Amino acid sequence: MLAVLFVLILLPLLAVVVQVLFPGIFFGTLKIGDLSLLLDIFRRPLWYASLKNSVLLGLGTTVLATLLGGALAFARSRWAFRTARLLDVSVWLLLITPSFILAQGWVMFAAPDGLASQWLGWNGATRMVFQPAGLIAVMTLSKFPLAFLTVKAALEWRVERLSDAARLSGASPWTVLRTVELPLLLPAICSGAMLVFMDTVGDFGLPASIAAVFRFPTLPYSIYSALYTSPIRFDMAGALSFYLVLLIALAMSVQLYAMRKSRFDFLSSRAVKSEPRRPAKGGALLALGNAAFLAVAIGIPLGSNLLMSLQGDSAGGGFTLEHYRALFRDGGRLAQGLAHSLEIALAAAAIGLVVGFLTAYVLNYTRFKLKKTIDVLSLVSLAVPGIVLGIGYIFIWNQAWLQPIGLLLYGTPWILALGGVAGAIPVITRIMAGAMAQVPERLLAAAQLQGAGFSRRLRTVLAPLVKGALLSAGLTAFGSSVFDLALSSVLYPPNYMTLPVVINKAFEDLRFGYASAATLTGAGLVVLIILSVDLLARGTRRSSRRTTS
Amino acid sequence: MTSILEIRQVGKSYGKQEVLGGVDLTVQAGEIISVLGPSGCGKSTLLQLIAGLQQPDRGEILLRGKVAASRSGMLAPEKRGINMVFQDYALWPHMTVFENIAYGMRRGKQDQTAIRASVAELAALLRLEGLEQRLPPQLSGGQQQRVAIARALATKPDLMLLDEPLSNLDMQLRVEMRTEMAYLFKKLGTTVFHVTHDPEEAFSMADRLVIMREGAIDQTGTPQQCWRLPASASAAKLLGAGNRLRAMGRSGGRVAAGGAELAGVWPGAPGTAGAEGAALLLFRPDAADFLPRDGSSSGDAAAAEAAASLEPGMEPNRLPVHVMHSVFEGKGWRVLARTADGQPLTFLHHRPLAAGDEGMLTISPNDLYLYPQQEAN
Repeated sequence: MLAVLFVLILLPLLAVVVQVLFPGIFFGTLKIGDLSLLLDIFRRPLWYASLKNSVLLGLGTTVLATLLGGALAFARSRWAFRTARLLDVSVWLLLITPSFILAQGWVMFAAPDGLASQWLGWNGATRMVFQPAGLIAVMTLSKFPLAFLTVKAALEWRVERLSDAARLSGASPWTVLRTVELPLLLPAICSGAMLVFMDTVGDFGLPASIAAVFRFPTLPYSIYSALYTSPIRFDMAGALSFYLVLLIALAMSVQLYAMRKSRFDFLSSRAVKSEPRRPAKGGALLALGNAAFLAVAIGIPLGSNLLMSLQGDSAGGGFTLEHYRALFRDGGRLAQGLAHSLEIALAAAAIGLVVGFLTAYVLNYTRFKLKKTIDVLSLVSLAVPGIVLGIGYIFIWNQAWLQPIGLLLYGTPWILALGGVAGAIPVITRIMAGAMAQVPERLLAAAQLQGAGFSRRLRTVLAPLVKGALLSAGLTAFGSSVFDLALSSVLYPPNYMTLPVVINKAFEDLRFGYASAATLTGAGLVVLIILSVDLLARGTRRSSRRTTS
Repeated sequence: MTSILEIRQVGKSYGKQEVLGGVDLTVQAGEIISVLGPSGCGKSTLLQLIAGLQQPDRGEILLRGKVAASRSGMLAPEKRGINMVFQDYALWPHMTVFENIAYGMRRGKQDQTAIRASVAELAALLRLEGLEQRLPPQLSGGQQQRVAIARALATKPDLMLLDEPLSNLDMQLRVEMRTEMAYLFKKLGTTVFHVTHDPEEAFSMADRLVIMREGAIDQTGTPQQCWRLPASASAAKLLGAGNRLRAMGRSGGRVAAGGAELAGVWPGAPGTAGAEGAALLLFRPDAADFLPRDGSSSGDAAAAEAAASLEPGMEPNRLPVHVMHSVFEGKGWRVLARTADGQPLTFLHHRPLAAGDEGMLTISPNDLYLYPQQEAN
């Protein structure tokens, strides 16, 4: 188990770090102690700009998205208003929609001659969006759900007495918020902020999509460029990845420090589930404001994709299904890409489920010595950007000595599958560990006393009890793997295009209509698959319950 | 005496369920009131209304003679000059002991030196010296409790509310703390409104006891008065009279119960005494003495003792019982028995009795509480 996690996740990460500290260890000649490539970040203008842009985008988005997400979470859990459910749904939609699709939507909306200027006659959108502040705003609108969900989760249970005690000590409601409620929320706010930061600096979708119309290099995008502009420089990609890992490691340590400093277990048995109340006044305003906000945050990116996929190429050409028809012409590139992506995602989800299930078992029910290490490893791997994982995979699986033993996986679809598994494991492990935490160990012990061996206990007791979680973990891993742009951009073998790569290529060629039609078709199909599997599984579960009762 | 708190016809409902139905109560300065009642009797709601954490549906609450809450409006909790010790203490986990205690004084715009001096004084009073820089989770239950009291005293409230303040402590600490608290509040002359479901806690703290039932006040009086003459069957049960027998009223205030004719007191509403018809009879397990049927000397001695404590002409009651089981309780034995007509009861005895033993319980008429059946319902 540990070996699997090690090979799939830790080894590639180590490879990135090792190859920077010992250049040439994987390719070329080994030069110990030569850190010149690493210091190049201050000499090469593009690298320096990438680092600067990543930090700027990361910090700006963190501040804004935390403020926005935190404020929305506060309003949502305190007040009941119309359109509140819409906010919940939109947040989830934003969270599961791959960032390149959202970014594509914004580009189609704001590009010169984009939807904003075509439909609304608003030419200022281009200038507003395609500048650092504009990109921070776009990123904020895509990433605020992370802060929203963490803060909202922390607000779910309130110990009203802590606030009551402050009121009785003479504090006004505002003082109570400032001195008691906000400080207690700080760990959640901090967690949310760090999630936003890590997700933003590691994001490949936005810079990749924006690149079609605006130059804003970030670290992930420059890593990709180093690999796909000749001469191909794996070592440079490695050096840039090192900085990206450094940024994320820095953020994680800040978070760990903050958590240790300010962890308050203040929930007592007196905690009550906080029920949103109807505001005394301004309820309609709240509902309207929320609806307007969502129209921008989710309406623009998703609406643009829809509109673009239906709009004829000639300016003002009315609606047409031409782009959808084009998807399946010219040799069916999309159909092929889609088939490849589905294959990879299926393999990733299936293998990931086995590994993730067993990992979660080890974390929950064993006294294995390296348990803590596994836990940290699976958490860290959640934060590793796909692009970095991809570079690590190239370092590990592209070495000459692997060829004779048939393990030179770089350039074969296998590496995509492995990468998919690595991406799926942490997510599945987290979901399964959460579900298993609710199954007490004594249920397994009881089965053991009845003579059930290890695999029998898992099959007959544990798996049936966490069946629902297994299903949603598998489907989540499947869905996110299909649309993993970063990993497949870096690792796709020649003649083995995947769905996100096909879409992104079309987008880079400014074929917006085709790209958006492909996005919607692919997404529609994946949603259909997920829904029918889910429905099927629920159906069998229900009928099996009926036969047992 | 000045009245600090006046509650006039206060009522509160949650949806269709009425939790408080027109309560009247006045608390004088320096008085310690303990409100005693089973869970769900409305005592915690009453506390919330006084604190300003909820608004009454009807009636008025006056603090120092001024209306603080009514159906039409209410004064914010921070403006009432009240403070409270919560059941789970509600100490702010992100603040040290010092900051917790000083919090209210800082709101009162006192200067730093004065605040430091006051905190030191309170810390000394509540034996918290040396703990000022600790965080609440680093304290024991008793220490947390004392910090909560110090924090509430720090704002020098006109009225101190205590919401089951000892229920989170273990048995021994509870006994220590209630004695300590009673002494402290008397010494400081604090006006206290204390809510609990534990009779012993109420007795040890209260100048005046208020017994509540189903959203209304059942009885008020000194702890001794209430103990001696519980005004209702439910108050009697709350105050330890756990034996409850069905009885039938006879002439002369006597009742027939468990196959015997018994005399007792009728502490209920005037005019109910001696009513003929279905009645309830309650007594405490320690009010009965067991007299074996074989007439052994120890039983005779007990009967003689019971008779001696009665007024001249008054006979102790004799109730025949059949022993079912004995349980050792340290100080003595608790015996489960049945009356001649099969009603279960328990009593205390100095030695175990064997199942099947027959005998008489002798109970003084002063310790037998009688209530008409309809009142008990």
